Amino acid sequence: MQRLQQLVEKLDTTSKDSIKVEALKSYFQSAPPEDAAWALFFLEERKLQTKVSLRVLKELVTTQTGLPFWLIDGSNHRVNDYPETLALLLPWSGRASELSLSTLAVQFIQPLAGFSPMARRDTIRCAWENLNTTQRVLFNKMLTGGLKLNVTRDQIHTALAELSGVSKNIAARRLGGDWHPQSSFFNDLIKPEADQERALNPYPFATSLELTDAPASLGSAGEWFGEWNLKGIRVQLVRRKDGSAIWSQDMHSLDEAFPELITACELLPTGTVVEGIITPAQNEDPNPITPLNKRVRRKKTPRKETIPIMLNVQDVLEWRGKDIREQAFTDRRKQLNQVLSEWEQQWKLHANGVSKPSIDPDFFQQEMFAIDEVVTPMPTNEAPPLPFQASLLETASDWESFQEQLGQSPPVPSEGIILRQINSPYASDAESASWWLWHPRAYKANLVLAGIIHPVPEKPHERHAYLFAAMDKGSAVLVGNVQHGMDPAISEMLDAWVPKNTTKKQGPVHFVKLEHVFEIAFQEATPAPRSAATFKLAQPRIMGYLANLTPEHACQIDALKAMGPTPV
Amino acid sequence: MLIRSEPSGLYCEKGDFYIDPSRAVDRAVITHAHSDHARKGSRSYLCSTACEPLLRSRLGKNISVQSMAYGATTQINGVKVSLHPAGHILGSSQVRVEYGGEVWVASGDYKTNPDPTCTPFESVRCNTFISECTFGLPIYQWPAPDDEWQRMKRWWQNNRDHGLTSVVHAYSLGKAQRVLNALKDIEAPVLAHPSIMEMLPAYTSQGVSFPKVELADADRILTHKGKACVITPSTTAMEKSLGKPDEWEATDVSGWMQVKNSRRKRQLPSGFVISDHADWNGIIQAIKASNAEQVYLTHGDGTLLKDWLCQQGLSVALLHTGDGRSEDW
Repeated sequence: MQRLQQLVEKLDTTSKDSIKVEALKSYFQSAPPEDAAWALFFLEERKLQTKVSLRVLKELVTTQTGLPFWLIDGSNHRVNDYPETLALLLPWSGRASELSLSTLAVQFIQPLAGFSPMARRDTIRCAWENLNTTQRVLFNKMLTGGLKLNVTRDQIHTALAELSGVSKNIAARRLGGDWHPQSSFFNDLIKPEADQERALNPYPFATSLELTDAPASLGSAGEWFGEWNLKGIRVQLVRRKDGSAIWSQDMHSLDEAFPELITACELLPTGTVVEGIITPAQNEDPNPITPLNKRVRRKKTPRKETIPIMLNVQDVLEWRGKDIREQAFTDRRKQLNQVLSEWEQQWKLHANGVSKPSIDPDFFQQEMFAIDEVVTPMPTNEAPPLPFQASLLETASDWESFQEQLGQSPPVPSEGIILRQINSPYASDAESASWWLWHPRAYKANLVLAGIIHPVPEKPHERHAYLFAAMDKGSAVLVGNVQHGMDPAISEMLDAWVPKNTTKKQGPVHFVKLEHVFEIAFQEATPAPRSAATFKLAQPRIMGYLANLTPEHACQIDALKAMGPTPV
Repeated sequence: MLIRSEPSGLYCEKGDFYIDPSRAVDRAVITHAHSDHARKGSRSYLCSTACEPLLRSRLGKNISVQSMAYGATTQINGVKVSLHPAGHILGSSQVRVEYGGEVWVASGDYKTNPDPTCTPFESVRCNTFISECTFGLPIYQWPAPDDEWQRMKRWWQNNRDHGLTSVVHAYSLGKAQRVLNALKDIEAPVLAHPSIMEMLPAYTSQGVSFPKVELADADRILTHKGKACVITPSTTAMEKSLGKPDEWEATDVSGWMQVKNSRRKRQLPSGFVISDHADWNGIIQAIKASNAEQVYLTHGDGTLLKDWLCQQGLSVALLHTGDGRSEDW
């Protein structure tokens, strides 16, 4: 625990990426592999079932310290995190602990769920006695299932990649899926790269830029393909001689989440990489990510898929073992049509074979005698529904007709339109990106500035966001925050104005007097029941400062309700 | 009531004097030289010997100050007044007031933890004890200061190894000197804000030792970039010379750093738990040692502490003074 404590301390006392990565690296280097495996378990925010409730912990603290519940609750009011409060309330200890992280996890935490309530209490008390105050905070969080360390997935992957010499994708892939925190897992994790792993790497995903000007600025509409930017999970399917893999944009392996796509991927000729967006097959939910995430997060594959999915294939990046990303988009799409028709044939052939029960020759012989009495259903030639299809591309001769075709309500849940230049390559870096994300039917609303949100200390380089409110009759209702589009001159004016007009500070949020009205454009306003703001604005942008408007003229909350996700 | 709370501070009617008044008065007894306790404009001041130079440098050379040693007694309009070490910062005192056999003690700010830059807290028996309660919650239990200083040195070393300048936020009187004293064997160029430098002679004259400290001006910050430890109450004026945000690392030294939520509110990734105030146990210990029949809590939100002490059978009430702002200075 001493080592973990030092790691947490280092992660907490710096905001610099490089220091965090190095701290992780030196931890993984120095810790015994079983400790490192457990640290990763918690770094990945995985949880253990302990059956320990907050109430049990509170009762234990009361018996240990004599402090009544009301004083514990009152103290937590300041801390706002019970596991931390309870650790701080126990008699302070700064001693070095002999317990290793893996011992704590294996001997103390893992068996808790199987213990009697009495044994559970004794075990927790014993652990507390062996830990110092900082370690107790960590332990309490492990117990209640919420140990979050100040580090991103990307930093973990970088550290592991640097340690083992493999690429970051591979490190990410090795960490994916279901694994048990034990020394063999960690030792495998930092092994050098195997040929097979390298063979299944995806390409860096292409970026598209936000289109803020009118689309006419892009030139002639005839030069462009438009496509609904579907809400879903963007993936690359990689089929090479060593196997098949599905990669999400954040380099997570989704092989286990979408087994039917892996089956389909096996049918592609080796040396093929296609890109597309996974959506539910019945794409009716305005927020399709939630059901999809259920599949991504699940631990076991159910026997029958509850949410059938569809891969909307957009692009082909590799064909017959050749990287074709430099080819013009229109040529790649032609290629894609060929890929898809071959794939579909393969699917029908193969999927049929699988779906039909294998025929037992004896069965027919028995049947011969009673063929007239038994009506056997004719084996159908229908394959299971295709899990992939080409995404829908639109073309138009001018931007007005584009707007007409695509500016209607979208047939499927989507966020804007991706515009791809017909000759564009598949460009992964922002500088050479020539794809644009366009929001032709963005809503606009006049909202009142209600506050400024400063970046959290963990991300000091982030820009601050502006918090906006709509009016509900006379009072203001928080709507959502907006980060982009503030005019630098107005921003400077606000920097001077805000400190003098702050009415309340709540963590990083500085609430201000309701005075300034801005025009905000956004894609849609989705209700956000669990957030302090009433709505979450999709892709919001500050369009301009409305100096002549007062808060009374701002948008009413009822009007915003009508700007929700488009029903399909 | 020998001492009562008035809008301008604690007032002793019998002796016609105020303790730490918040506005100009005729006669002010000052517990210590922090700006929320020592304010300009009063006709005369009474404070401890070690406090006098600090008070003069903060309120002006020409103020009328009477200073006295800890434990010495003076009479103000027939009321016996003496000052006793409070252990908060250099020259900080508790004020003992005696009249007609009744003894009141106003603690001012105090701490019971060891601090080499000032005389340690001494408990004074009394009938009524007015105690501060800035950290009057059981979550505040201070770690051993030496452990925290070790931690701070490791933090600085780590920053230096990464070529980052270390910046320690510390109030210019008391906390900053305590930090400097703790860093006296550090091998870094130590730079301090002018407001901190100004207070150093008063400390050295009382035998407190410091490392070699240089003024934190733009030139020196640039010269020692990546290795220096800069002690300052605020970085606003020096951000230009410190460079881009990824070239330096800042921290705070305060009791509030005990709780992650407070660190987040202050927008600091890190902090060291060193306070010049008593923690929960320290306050309770001081209250019990005073043997007072009546306790008043002030300077902080003492509601829960009051309820807890009442449950223990003590007679405790809240006393509202000043603006109620609690800083860990």
